[in-house]
Formats: sequence, structure tokens, C-alpha cells
Amino acid sequence: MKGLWKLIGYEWRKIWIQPVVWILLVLFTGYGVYSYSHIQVDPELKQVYSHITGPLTQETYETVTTTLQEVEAGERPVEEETVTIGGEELIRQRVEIPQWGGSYVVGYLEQAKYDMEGLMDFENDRVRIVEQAQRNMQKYQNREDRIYDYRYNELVYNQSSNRGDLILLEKTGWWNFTEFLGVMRPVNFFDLTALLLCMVALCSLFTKDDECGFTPVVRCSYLGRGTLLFAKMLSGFLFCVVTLAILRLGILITLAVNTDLSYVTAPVQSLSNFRSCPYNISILGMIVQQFFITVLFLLFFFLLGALAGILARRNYISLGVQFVVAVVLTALSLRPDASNYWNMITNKTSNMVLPQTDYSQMVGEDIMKIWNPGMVMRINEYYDHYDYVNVLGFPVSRLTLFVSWLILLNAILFLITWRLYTAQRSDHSLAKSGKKGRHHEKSVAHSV
Amino acid sequence: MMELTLHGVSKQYKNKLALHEFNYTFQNGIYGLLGPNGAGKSTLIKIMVHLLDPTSGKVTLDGKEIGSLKASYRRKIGYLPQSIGMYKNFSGRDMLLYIAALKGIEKKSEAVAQVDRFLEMVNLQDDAKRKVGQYSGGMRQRLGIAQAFLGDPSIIIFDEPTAGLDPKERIRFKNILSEMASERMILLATHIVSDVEQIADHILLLKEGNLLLGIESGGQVEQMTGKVWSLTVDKQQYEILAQSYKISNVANLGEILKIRIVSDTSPSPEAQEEVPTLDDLYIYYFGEAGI
Repeated sequence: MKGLWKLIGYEWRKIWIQPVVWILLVLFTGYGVYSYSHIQVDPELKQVYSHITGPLTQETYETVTTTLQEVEAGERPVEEETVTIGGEELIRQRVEIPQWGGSYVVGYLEQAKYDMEGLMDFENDRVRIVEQAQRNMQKYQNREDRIYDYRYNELVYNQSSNRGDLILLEKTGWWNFTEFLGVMRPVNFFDLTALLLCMVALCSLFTKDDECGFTPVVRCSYLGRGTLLFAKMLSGFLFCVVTLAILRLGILITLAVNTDLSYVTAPVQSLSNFRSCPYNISILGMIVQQFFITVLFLLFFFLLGALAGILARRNYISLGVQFVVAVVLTALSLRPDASNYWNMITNKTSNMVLPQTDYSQMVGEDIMKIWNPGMVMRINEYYDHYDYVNVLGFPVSRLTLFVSWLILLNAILFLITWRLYTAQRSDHSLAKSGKKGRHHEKSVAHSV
Repeated sequence: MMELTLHGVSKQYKNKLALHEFNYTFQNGIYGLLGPNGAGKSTLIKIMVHLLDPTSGKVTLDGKEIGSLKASYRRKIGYLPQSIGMYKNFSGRDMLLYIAALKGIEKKSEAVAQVDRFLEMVNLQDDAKRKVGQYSGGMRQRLGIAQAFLGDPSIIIFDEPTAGLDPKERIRFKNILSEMASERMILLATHIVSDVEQIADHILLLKEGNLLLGIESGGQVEQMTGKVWSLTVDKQQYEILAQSYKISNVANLGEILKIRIVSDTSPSPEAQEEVPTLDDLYIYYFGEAGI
């Protein structure tokens, strides 16, 4: 065991000793911090939302709506001011709100009212959904031919009933936060930077020994087969976790500096872009969950690269294979059938339960469409759409299925890699790498 | 006493039989494996260190097949391949510490002690902190020799260990072997006779995958008695003789040459019989007339 940890230490060192790793890590972290540090926030907007952010109360709602009604009726005086926003001169109205102290922009009050009513509508819709689900459960109870429908509605009922109270969140900083969570774009760019960093850093982990002619010594040493493979695997996995954490923390800390993140434990449905999230999970919980799913994703590419490296014994092939797969998946994710994926399979918007009660036909179509590989790169969208599939009569979320498949695929790749790495080699494969190593000393990320 | 036995080991590649029915038992001591390039030395060694599987036959250590022993067999092995690569950005010391970790030396103090000892043994203690990428070929080879001793292996195998070493370092290497040979088996595979002369307890001759001879050191005298001749000739006579006989040595004495011929029969009435050396044995089996 001690030997394993020693080897992990050396493999870890071999990764971090490459200058390109530090260069990319600093570059990508810096870019992430830079991207999220330029938040243009109108202080007037922040001022309005400072009074309404938090649990929605009747008092807050009435303060805003009454003020706006009185402004519209001409019963409350307004002051006009000229401001320049984005190089354009605009005239806007301000109104005094004694309860809050000071004057506030009428347009922003209207926006606040819109957000509050959106939240209230969603809460009202939750009541409808609970009632609908209850009715469906009574309808399908004890029906052998509609077991799935009963279980599905039972799931909806339990989830909707047990979800915590939503929080009205200040739009500006949290809006950027939802962008960070990847909802605003199909493919999370910053996860792609993590992927690129891991690909470059780890592509030589399983090729370095062959390329420099060290393999014979390694393979006839006591710990040079199974134990060393474990050490390389664990090092690679840890690298994925650590670098993703650094990249994400850089952005999170930048956001925390510019945004009040004190409601990070609120239900994720508090974010307007996640109203359709089917899970009872906090914002923080979703961040953590997405983090580990992305790690699984990075692990998939690492294992792919490991397998390619063991077969080809060249780091540029290991890197190339990963790169091609990443490009193909990204390209597939940007195709229309991916961007329209949720509409195609569910025909749903944000409602968790449609008025129609017969799901059997739709469920059959859902299963066939789960295999769109382009959806692999749009992980964040799984949190934005309510979708379950019928698996042996039980409702299983598409995200759970996706993650399960990813874990299974990773396990298969690991086992194949294990088998190949520990198996005996031909003399040709032992000899050729050593010879070529002398001529191929300047491969990508090849400075160990 | 430990016994490493090869039972009818053969290795067939696509178009070549690299090793044919190799039978031999190794025990403690220094073994010199002599043969020209392509004789099958490296193939034999790779099978012995379990880098390759034989096409037929088996290798046993004290009666147990090495394939079944797996890691426990590898724990007993120290190996210097024909061409060893190292990490350019590691220092010599760090490289050996890494190999010590690979060999399962768990205690740091023990690993450090062994590394320091073997660095001094191969005269690299002053260059230990330099990066391997800055080492000369000879320094890397010495580092390779040092790593073979790490972990106190009971079987140490060197494949062409003196490549890149200057004469002083070669002598130093032979002295190291003599010092380290007690209670372990050391095999040196080489085509340079002087590498094994004077230190090997046993000599094996390998040609085109076949074990031609396995004798104890000094046995070449018995093998080659009556087959080694010296003759003094002029250059014209030399050229004629060289076409028909294997010449193991030529000494230029000005207008005349003193040549050493390896032959089953006397090449000339004037030829004098000489005491055979290992070089003569090598030329007898591997030399060719006309060269």
C-alpha cells in the first residue's frame, strides 16, 4: 500500500513537472476570472433587488405593486432623469418608496414585479401539479397495466410536495451565476478548457515510458504492472478533480466577490432558468453534483486517452484520439437535433405534468431518443428539463441514466486498459518504442 | 542454492526462430553469455526476466514457473536492458529513487541509502543532482547499471552493459561485478569478450538461437587445445592465409606480421601451438575466414 502511494507521488510529479500544464492552468483560470469579473451592474437595479431578494413575502409584493399602481394612476409623483446607458441617452422615471427609503427606477420596479409574479405563478403551478399528480395516482392505483404511470405521478407528487420554499434572487449577479452553470449556452466553455488541460497533461502518462525506452525496466520491476497502473489511474483521476476544482473555484470566487451568494442553499428552482429542474436539490447541491458529473466526463476522456496510449505508445495519438472524440461530440451537440432534443422527446415546457394523462406512447419514443450522443456535451441541460424514462416500470431520470452509462463506460474502459497494460507484450512492441524514443523526444507535452 | 532453469525454451517470431530449444540451469555466480549481434541474447534475456513469453518451453525458479510467481519473481530481478531510457527532467538521484519505489523499497531511509551507495559505486555521486538530460551516454549507462542493483536482487541480468563506457569505466564495472557477485546470479550478455574475461565463472556461447557451448571459466583451454596457432608471415602470406583461416589476432611487427590462427589443423609446418584464450574460443565459433 505504501508502495502504491509512493508511486502515485511520482506519477503526480511527472504530470505537474510539465511546463505546459502550469501555463494552461494559469491561462484558463485567469481567463475564467477575467470573464466573470467584468459584470456591468446598474447600481439602481441592485438597489431595487436588495429589498426584494430572499423569501417572497406578501408585504414586499404589495409594496412594489401598490407603488406601480399609484404611479400609473398618477397618484404618486415621479421624477424624470436622463441617463446614458450603452452610449445611448435614455429618460427614465424615479419614484419615492418611503418604506424602503429613497427613490427607485420605475422600470426596475416593473422588472421586479415581473420576477415576483413569475415566482408566484410557479408556486401556484406547483399546487396544481400536486393536485393533478394526486388525481392521477388515484386513477392508476392498483392497475397492473399502468404501474409506471402510477409510480411516475407518485414521484412527481413527492418531489413537488417536499420541495423547499423558493427564494427570489437578485437578477444581475445570479444571472451571471446561471451562465456559469452553463444554462446560457449549449456547451459549457469552461468545462471544455478543463477537458483540454486534462487531455494535454495526461496524454503522456501511459506513453512516456515507451517513448523514452524505460518500459523494460518498469515492466520487470516488482510494482511495475498492476500497482503502477493503479498509481497512474489514481493520479490521472486526482488531476481531473484538482484542476477542475481550481478552474471552477477561480470563477466561483470571482462571482462571490461581485454577487451576494448567501442564498446558495436555496432550491435550484429559485433560479429562473432552472424552474423546470426535476430534482429537489439546492443550488450548492447542483454545483457539487455537476462538478462530479464533469469529473466522470473528464475521466472518460482520460481513460480513452490511456487506452489509445497503451495501444499506440505515442502521446500525440493519445491526445489526438481524445481530441477527435471531443470535437465530434461537441459538433454533434451543436446540431439542431441536439438543440431541439428536449422539445422532440417531451413536447414539454416547464410543466412537470401535462394535462394529458396517457404517457405510454411518449415513453416509448423517449427511450429511443436517449442515445443522442450530442447530448453528452450538454450536461447542464439535464437540470433544466423535467424528463423521466420508463426503466423496467420505474421512472428513472434521464440524468441518472446518462451518469449510469458514463460510470459503466468508464468501468469498461478501465478494465480493458488494465488488461492491456498488465498483459505480456510482444518483442516488437518492447523494442520499437525504445528505438523511436530517441528520435521522438519532442512530442506534445513531452518534457518529463 | 537458487536455480533458474530454462527447459527447452524456444522463441519464434514471424520469419525467424530467435531461440531454439534452450536448456540450461543458472545458479549463483557470474555467467557470460557471448554471441554476435542477432544471436538471440536479448530474446533469451527478455524471456528470463519475464518481459516475453517463450513460444514453447518454460522457465522455472527453484522448480516453479516464473509466470506463476508473477510479482514475487520480479522482486528478485535486476535488469539492465540493451538500450535504457530515463526521464530527462529527473535528476540521476530522483530517477534511482523512482526505480527504488518501483522495486518496492518502501522505507525512504533504505531507498536513500541504497541509491547513495550505488551512485558512489558507479562514480556518479557528484552528478547525482544533475538532470539525466544533461548526462553523457556513459553516465546514463552507469546510472542504468546502478539501478540494476537496487532492491538487492538475487538475479541480475545485464544486456550489453559496457556500451558507451570508456576503458576505465569498464574496468570499474568488472570490479563492481566481482564485488557484488556473492550469493547471487549475474548474467552478462555481450559480444565483447573482454567484458567477461577474468570475471565470469561460466561462459555460454549462443549462435543463431542455439546454445553452442556452456563451459566453466578456463574451460576454453580444454575446448581449444590443439586449435590455436601463431605464425610469423609477410603481408602477402597473410592475405592468402586470411582467405582460408579464422584469424583471432594480428600484430604488426614492421615488415612482418605475427598472426594468431584458430583452426582444427595446423595452418603451416612453421606454426606454433598456443594456449587458447576466450577470444580464440569466440573466433572459433563465430569468426569467419576471409575477414
